[in-house]
Amino acid sequence: MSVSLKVSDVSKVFEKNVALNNVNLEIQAGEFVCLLGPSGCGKSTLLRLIAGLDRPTSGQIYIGNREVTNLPPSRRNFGIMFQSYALFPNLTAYENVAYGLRNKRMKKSDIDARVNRLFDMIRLSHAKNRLPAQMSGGEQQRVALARALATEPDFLLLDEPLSALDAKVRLSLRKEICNIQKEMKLTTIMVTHDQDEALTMADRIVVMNKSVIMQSGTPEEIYEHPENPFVADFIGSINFIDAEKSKTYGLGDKGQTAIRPEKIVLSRKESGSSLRGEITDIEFRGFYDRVTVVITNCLCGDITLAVDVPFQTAKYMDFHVHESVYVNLPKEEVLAFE
Amino acid sequence: MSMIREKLEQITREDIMRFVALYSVAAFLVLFLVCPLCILFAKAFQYKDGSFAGFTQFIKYFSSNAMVYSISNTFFIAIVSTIIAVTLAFLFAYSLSRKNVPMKEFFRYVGMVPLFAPTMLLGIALIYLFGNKGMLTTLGIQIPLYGKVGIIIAESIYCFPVATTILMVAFSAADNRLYEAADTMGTSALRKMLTITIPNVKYGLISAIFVAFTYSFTDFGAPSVVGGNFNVLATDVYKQVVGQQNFNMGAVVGIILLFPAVLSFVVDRITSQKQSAAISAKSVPYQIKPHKITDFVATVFCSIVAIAMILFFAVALFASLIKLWPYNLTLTLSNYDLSHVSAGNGVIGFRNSVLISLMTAFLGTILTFVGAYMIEKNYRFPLSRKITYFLSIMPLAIPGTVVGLSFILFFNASAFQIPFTDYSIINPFHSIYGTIWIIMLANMVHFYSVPFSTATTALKRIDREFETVSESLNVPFYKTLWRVTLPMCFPAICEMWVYFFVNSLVTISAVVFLYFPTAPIASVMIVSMQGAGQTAPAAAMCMVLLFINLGVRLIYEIIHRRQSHGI
Repeated sequence: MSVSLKVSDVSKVFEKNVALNNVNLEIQAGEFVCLLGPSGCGKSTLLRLIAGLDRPTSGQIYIGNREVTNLPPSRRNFGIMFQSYALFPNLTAYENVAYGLRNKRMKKSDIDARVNRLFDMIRLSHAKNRLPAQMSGGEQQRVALARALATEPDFLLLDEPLSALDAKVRLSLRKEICNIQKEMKLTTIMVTHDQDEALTMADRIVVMNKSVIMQSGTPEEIYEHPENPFVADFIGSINFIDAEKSKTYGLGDKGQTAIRPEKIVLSRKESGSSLRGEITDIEFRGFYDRVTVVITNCLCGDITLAVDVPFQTAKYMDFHVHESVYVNLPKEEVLAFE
Repeated sequence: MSMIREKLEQITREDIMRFVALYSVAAFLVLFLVCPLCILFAKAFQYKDGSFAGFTQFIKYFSSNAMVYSISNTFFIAIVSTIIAVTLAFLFAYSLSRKNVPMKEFFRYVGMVPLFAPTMLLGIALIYLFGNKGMLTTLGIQIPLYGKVGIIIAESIYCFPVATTILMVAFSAADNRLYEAADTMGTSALRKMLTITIPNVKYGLISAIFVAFTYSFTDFGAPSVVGGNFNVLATDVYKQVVGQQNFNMGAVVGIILLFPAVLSFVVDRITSQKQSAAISAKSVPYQIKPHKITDFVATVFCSIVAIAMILFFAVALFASLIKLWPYNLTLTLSNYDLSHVSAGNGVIGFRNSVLISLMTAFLGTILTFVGAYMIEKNYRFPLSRKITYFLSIMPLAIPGTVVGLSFILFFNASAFQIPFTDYSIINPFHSIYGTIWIIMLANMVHFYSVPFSTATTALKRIDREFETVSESLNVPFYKTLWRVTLPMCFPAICEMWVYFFVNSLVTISAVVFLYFPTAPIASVMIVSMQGAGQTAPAAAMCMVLLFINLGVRLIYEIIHRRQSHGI
């Protein structure tokens, strides 16, 4: 069971604060959508409105084809996971997962079967009878996932579920959540401020800033074709080149342009459109080097570019600070913003 | 039709339950806190016949010499008692939290004992020690007990435990890193005290001073026993209302009594916010370093306080166990036969007191917990929650005497006339006037705020997403309350229960106004027995109440320890 969701012209105002400003969003059944943005952008507010924990100031929310704008959370049939896990500390892992089922008129054996199936799924069958305090953070969050799925929800809401975990556990749980989501074809919305998480997990990313949606698209679209400077800057690294310089260098004549550091090619040989610059800094970053190059031009001022050189190339080229190099900005990789 | 169905679908049964629960608590507070206070204010501005008086009653009050004398007496008592109690409490709390003193637990408990006894017990012990035929008087140590000296000693002991508790909390919130930094710079002990310790406990100290001041400003028990002809406001109210049946003048004095309490309340609100901000999660707890001389001085000081405290209670115990001081010193238990005391049947009074305390503790705990839960764990009805919160902490600012006075004004009236009209409303609560239930209600209101705060603190510590999770799982809130929230709050609930019980059993200031011969209670009987010269049975009754309270507290400690060991 999976449903589509629709948010239509929704605004939310807290006293004087506008938390959401006329937001529109449609989510297909079975889609995994990430709401991504800096803190205070309205992503958590949007999640709370979809859950029914707050009411929008204006606009409508639909689950499937049904309008639910003022429906209480208990009638929306969703599962939810929080950064804090929110497991009931006085109940065992088993009882936590069975919590929502105990309330339905279900046979004890049916409850038992379903809970056991969920524990198999999260690979914690051995820890069923432990209390939350006796489990690691990652285990607790897996139990929280099982609990959210136990009542067979129509959609799943994840509120920064991985932010409190160690880096390693976070990576493995990312995969686990994605696999389960794909397998169950469950409509899922995850709020996060971690761009890596959004890029690796989501079918579609919705980037938000200052109460509005900046762009919505697949991870590739968001990364390769950001529609505005905010999205370009928020996801990955980028070099901005202002309108005047862009024109001078023939990168574009409509306004500001930008290029990602890994799309720039450095070489010691001059070629057709390459620019001459000087290396001012080399920073070792593990699997690549971040090289800073300053292109001097007496007409409109210097351009400072960050260039990512893959480790192998960097080793082979053996660049040095103060060295002169030629910078290639491939036309097709230059992003233009009006 | 579909519109209605849609609206109905949006309101769940749970919303209705939440609505009913929150508004029941709010209604309780409005009916038994706000309404009586309104009547009190109304009475202060009326003549006896009910006609509007403006400030004439106040002017009359302040132009009477006797009344001005009472006010200055009360201020004098309150200021001196506060200085003594807070100074001793400061040294006591400092010794226990910052010095190597042995048997800290013992000292802490001994320092708390006055909380469990009626204030009259302190008065009785004083009489046996310093009265005309007192033990120390006959040894040649003579002090003018009856009057200000007696009241000040009793109030100082009465305020000591509260001030100590507040200061212990303040001292426990120290950052050891500050002291280490000072040590590396070679700072002297005095300078550390002045620049680190005192600024750190500043807010606790202010809070302790105001609480002690309010306690001694509004207390009724001690002045009624050792006051003699030394009039204070609390006894004045009693004389005006119960003696002369002048309710309007009583209301005027009641309003004057409200001033320091309201001021103290405001100061406490401000300081508690600042106190909580002063200490961060990163702070390192204070490490006590041994220092022979000061540790010895601190131990001697704590021992003196403990011995004095024990002496007081030993004297009271002794007083209750001998036939007739100082003529017949035979030990006897006959004073504990309370069935034939001057004030009537002591056993009934005693039974009523226990019943009232049990009921107050039972209903009060439920009420304050439900109130705190609905305010803390519910996002509906934001304005009503704010108002109910304010009403819930308001009793902190209302002295017992004022609670009692406003209750008698509210419940005594068989009907209320609506101002400026000829209509009146029949008072539906008039029928409980003269029963023990009015006393129970007064106790619930009087002691409401502290258990409410205990519940609020406990609920705040629980993840607020629990309610969201159970809503998403379509589990009604009351099931989560029952299965998760209540078990997690169990220690807090026990503490609330004990607070209600212990205070209800020994309180005098509010209930003295509501006492009715048909429904006698122990604490008021003690006052009247003492007044009739039956000091030994009065002491016996005090001791019984003290023992019950200590027993209840002991059971609580055992349960509490089992719990914290179990987890």
